[in-house]
Amino acid sequence: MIKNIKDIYSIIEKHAKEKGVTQIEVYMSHTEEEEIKIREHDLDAFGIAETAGYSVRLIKDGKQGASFTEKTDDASLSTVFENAYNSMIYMTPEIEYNVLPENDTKSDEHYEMIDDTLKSLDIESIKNKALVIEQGIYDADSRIFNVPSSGIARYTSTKSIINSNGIFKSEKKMSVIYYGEAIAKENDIVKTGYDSYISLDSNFNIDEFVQSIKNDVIGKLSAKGIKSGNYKAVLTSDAMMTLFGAYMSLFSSESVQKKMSLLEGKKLKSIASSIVNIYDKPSIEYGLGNTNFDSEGVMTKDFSVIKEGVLQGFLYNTYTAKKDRTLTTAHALRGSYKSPIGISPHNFILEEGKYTQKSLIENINNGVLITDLMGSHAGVDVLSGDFSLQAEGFRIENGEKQARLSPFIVSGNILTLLSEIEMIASDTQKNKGRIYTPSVAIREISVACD
Amino acid sequence: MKHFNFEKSFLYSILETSLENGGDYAELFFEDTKTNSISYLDSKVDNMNLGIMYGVGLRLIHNMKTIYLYSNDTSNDNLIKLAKNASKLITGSKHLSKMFAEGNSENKHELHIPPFDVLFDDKINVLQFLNEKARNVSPNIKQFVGRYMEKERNILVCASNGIFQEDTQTYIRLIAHSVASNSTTTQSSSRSKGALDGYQLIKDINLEEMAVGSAESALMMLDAQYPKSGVYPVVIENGFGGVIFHEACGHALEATSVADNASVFCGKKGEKIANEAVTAFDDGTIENAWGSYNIDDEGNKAQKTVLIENGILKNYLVDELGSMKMGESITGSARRENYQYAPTSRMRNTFIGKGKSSFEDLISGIEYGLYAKKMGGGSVDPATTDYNFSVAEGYLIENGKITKLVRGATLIDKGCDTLMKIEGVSDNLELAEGICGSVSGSVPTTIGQPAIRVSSLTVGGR
Repeated sequence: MIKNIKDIYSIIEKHAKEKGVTQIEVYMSHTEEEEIKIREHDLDAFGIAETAGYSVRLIKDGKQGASFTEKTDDASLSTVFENAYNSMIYMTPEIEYNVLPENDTKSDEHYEMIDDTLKSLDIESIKNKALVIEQGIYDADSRIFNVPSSGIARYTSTKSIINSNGIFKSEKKMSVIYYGEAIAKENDIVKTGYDSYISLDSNFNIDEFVQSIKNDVIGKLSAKGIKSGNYKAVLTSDAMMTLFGAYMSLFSSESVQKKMSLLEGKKLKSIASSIVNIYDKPSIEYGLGNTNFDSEGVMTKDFSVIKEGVLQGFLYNTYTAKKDRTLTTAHALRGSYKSPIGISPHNFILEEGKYTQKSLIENINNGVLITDLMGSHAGVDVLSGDFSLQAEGFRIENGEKQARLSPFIVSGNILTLLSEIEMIASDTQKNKGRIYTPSVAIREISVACD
Repeated sequence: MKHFNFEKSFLYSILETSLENGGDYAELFFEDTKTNSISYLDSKVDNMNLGIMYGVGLRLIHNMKTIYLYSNDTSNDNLIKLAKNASKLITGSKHLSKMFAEGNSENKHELHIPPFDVLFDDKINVLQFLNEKARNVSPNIKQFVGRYMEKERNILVCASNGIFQEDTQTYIRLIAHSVASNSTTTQSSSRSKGALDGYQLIKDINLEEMAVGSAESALMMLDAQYPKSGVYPVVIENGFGGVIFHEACGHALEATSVADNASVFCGKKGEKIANEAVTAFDDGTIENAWGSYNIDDEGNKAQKTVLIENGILKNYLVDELGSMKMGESITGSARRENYQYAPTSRMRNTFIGKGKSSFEDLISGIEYGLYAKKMGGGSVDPATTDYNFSVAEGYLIENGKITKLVRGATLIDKGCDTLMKIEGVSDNLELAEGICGSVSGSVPTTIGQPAIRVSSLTVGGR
């Protein structure tokens, strides 16, 4: 049964008092989900869900213990307290570092980021929109013979936090994801294309979305190889997001403290081309990572990560900040209530330049346009910075985008790539995720192809 | 052993309610899972995460369309509400549920030392030991991460086809991850072992070998060169090397893709899809193996499925919905990460069978090639079988001999082409544990193979 966070906190607090624990935090995540998947011009799958999970964190004598539960009967809440309490026994005491944040607001804070039009969409209209997406993909090109999945999912998620220092905050957010996949065939060549679009409002251009999938899949049908070697390259906004996303932990103070970041010792040193500026902002127009407070309940604020190529600092939560004798940057993040507190950016933004993607391409005589990168969970080594990834893209010759390339591999190192960024475009895709980057031109990348 | 206390008659009535307005199949899936994980880093316990996951999923299939509802709330009132909400979404005439069949499946995977009964002190001692042994290998081992995980997954599945099954699936896993640094680079290497079993697994592991092995590999990689970009023969080591078959072929044999005409292997049953040297299995019955179970997440008994025999495609991996769409028999392969996912056909313990070549046969005769000794993960597009996977530790093959150590290579190809290009299979079959992510979430899967030789793959390098 889903219970109110205040009720859970009261029960945990009662157990805590009995054991002499005074620092308590309860975090709750509540999610409602509706998903419509379309196939062959009809509803294929319909999902409805409501779930909640609770995470309990206790600190006593500088030791921290944590546990989580999806069960809220009395026995389970006793167990979750006991689990958190017992795990403290095995932790090293760190009295100075293991503390809960103080309350930084005068009152309880409750926020809503819900677009009224998005909220008002009923299931029937969501289904109709999903049907239009599927039909649009089929109609876009006769070579598209199968749309194995297309659909729309709408999520309403609420995060709430209470701690023994007086923090009580909650934030409710609604988002929607549109997705579509197409398979096209010409002669014996079969190719697939996929796209997704995430939004906090109801604005969505179906025609643009369908065209993007069509261009992707049809272009691949006439793909050609390229000789292996080193090439100048343009990475599109999508490709950069994938690459940056895989390296997010580099900027975490936790990774640095654990000797797991190759940026250790590089604060205030040049790590990127001087035209690179990176910010993390918790509140931008329809930002997918917008949030008023982090997963410890600390109010969020803007943070400069890289300024003119120079690393300004790392992202902190309360624990890592105390350890480095600095202040938290309010980047505590729980992947879910099941995860321990980690560190992550909110909206991670590579500042746009003044160029179009076309002008980036015009500056290259012999190169590649990299439109997509795959397999970053395996082909990226965060510790060394090396990457070797399956890529999709186009040949660039004499300043023009030419033939589509068959799948190829690009290899390099993230720090080398950052320092070899020569031009930055102003074409950031804003509906893909919490990482916002425009297309960039880089001096050189290694390409392998058959 | 009975874990859940629901009245059978009540659950039957829930299925009946959900089929009130028609539907071909209704299913309830209950899950009560407890999980403990310990992370050891910086020579101390870094994190302990103990948790309870609990919920129910209600699935209704009507004219091959799926309705799936899930919730943490398994109260009678909420189950009735879920069933009524599901039935409202379809229009048709009432479908009757079959009476539940009696009895549970036999437990074929004896639990050797229930891990939750073992004190945390013992588990932390194991991680401490690994840490000491790894760090003692060299001062260049700058960090060591040890991870211990145990999970007890209790499930109950009942469905309108008469299935009523309960099972307890206990998993255990240990990972040793060493990080080595010198003045120019940082490299890491892991060793892991997992099973559908208890703490006996930990007792059977040679912990020193595990720790020292991961440390020595990480140190070796500091001096590795980058391979040359290009297309050349690749010999892939046994064990985790099986990730190539998992990605290149396995996913495209799952009904998830095949039933929707989204696999390159659609309609190819009985046809040659691989070199005749290749015979491959997906076996959910191997005793205590990481990808095994007594019953799948639709309540069907695990099976051993021959996928490819001497190059000929014999079977797909088929779940209930896939069976309805394809007219193929169920293979007991329906899996889901938890109640928050509807199940679908997934791999279990998937491997290429033993061949006749020796490892030396595979290497000999290659003028310039790559020996992929340790693999990382990968991914695939089942419709085209375009796949990628990374090589964690590789060596050049020059003039029939294994020579320089290389790192940072990714391999790509088209799976259907790779299967035809497997020109040698050795006799040293070995299995390895991994986690596979797909539409129904992340599930434990075993991969495996004897060492194989592929005549050509695209290798990413510098």
